[in-house]
Amino acid sequence: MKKNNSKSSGGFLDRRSFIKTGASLLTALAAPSVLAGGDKGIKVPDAMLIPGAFDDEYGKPSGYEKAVKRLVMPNGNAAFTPLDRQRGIITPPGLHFGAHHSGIPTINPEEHELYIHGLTEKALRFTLEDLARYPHEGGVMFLECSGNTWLQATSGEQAPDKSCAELYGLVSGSEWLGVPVRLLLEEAGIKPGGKWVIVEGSDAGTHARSIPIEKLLDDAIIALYQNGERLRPAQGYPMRLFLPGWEGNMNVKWVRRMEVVEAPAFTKDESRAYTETLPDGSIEQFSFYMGVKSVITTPSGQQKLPAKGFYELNGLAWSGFGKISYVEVSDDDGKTWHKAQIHGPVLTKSLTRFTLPWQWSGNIARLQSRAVDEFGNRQPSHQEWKSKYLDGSYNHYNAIQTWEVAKDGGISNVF
Amino acid sequence: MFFKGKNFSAKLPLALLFTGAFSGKLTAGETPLLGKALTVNEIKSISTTVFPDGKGLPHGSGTAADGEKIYAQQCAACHAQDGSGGVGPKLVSKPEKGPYWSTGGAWPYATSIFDYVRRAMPPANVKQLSSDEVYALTAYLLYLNGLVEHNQVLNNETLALIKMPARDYVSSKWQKEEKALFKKELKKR
Repeated sequence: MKKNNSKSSGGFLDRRSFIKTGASLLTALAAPSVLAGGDKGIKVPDAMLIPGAFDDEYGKPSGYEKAVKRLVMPNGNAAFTPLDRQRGIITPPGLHFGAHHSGIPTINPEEHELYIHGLTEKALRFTLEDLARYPHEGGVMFLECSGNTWLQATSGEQAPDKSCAELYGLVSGSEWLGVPVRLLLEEAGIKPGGKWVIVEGSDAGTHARSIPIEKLLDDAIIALYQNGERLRPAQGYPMRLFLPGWEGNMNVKWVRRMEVVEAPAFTKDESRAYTETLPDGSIEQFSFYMGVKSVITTPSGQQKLPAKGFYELNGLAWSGFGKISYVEVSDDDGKTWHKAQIHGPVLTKSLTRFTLPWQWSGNIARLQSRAVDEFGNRQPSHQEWKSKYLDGSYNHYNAIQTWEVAKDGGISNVF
Repeated sequence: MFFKGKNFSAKLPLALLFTGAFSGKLTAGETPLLGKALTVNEIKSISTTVFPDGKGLPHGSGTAADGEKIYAQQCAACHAQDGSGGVGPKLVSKPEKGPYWSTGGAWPYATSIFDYVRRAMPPANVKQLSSDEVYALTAYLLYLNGLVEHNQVLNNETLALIKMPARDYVSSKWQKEEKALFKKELKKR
């Protein structure tokens, strides 16, 4: 990796020179200024004069933060997380992305049960109250729709003029806690030959996916809690399957039934909607892992840098295989790469925050990030990703993102 | 009393031991074991998945001739009478490019059509069609794709015998690559 210490393109200064520059800037700013209209002192703000409001039973964001909201598709089937207005690896539940095929059902938890049957010693039913008494496992993990960033995959030569939220907003991070599926399957007793489990939701479309039993016996949970509270209806209340690192569609919401079987059922979504088309035109099904991926969230598409000078590049990286090892950032269209600062905790199958201080010179810059996970998985370039699939195939897009900063500071999505 | 991994595991049946006892993971014996037994009829009433070998298909039958009228009432508004699609996905076409492939061109098993129509279609009237009607609609969709005759009877024995074209061009990434990656992932932990 080549270090870029030249100031010609602005760029990434090495940390020592940054500290030096910073110090001289601070000295300059520390001198008191005198305003043209005279020195009147600072007025006491109203908030320091009037007693504040009562607290709420359930808190809300500041009324001044109304722009921080999800983009909901007109048909209501998907809601995009505003990644470009957030910091950190946890998405507030109300801003978590949603993707639904039959709307959001209203479920009375007292009338909801989870059934386990099929190739099991015992066919069992569990109420929510039952499951609440079981040991809970899980952790801070990302969830990503298999189709996240599909606009990049389906666009031709011209990159779509979209924001980070519109392109990447079908990924979110939460602490997911619930009952390990492994414990429930052990209680039911898997019979020989039980290799897959058909997991079904209780929505009107009765969404179903075939899941390999290995995954369910590993880190899968029946999630009851998201970020400390019971699931939101849009996230599967009162219970959902959570499969760390695997495509969102398999994380069956409003889960009701698990049938242990010998082989997949080839349900609607695994027959076509959640498959890829390979260059020879054949269809690849059962692609479960979400690949290693990263994006600079600020500054990003459709934002504008107000002036040249200092910016902290902020981004998120994640991998369905495990932990992020490192992230590199470029501002010259990938000619030189610089290791970003990774901010802990670095958790398995979780969003991981990275930053890098950057000086914008005022010239055109192309900002990119590329992540590598603990298994050595790397992000392909846009062209490399496109070459792996037939044109038009749009799931599991994880190529390196390029944001172009124009001379006026405007930022756009480019290939 | 607190459960101490080893002591507690020793009292468990052997089958429960293999996953957790030596890895520090909890086992079912360290849970309240609250699952209650489902009755035979309860199991029957929830076992609605249809499998590629025809398992799970109910009694009943239908032909494309029967299905044409039902389709006009229940499906055509979204999928068009000829299955070319509209608000709803395209159901009919010869294999063509990428994700624009239709149900007939991309789904490898006809049983999946029965399964999906029965559980989810039409969206404003789900789970209201009789088994005969679902067989008839499945037959009509297959007929539009040139895969059955107009009067060919489909039932729980004949549906699974229909060979969809996609059977020749689908593969499983899990089988090809990801199962090995999964083992690698477990090994690293």
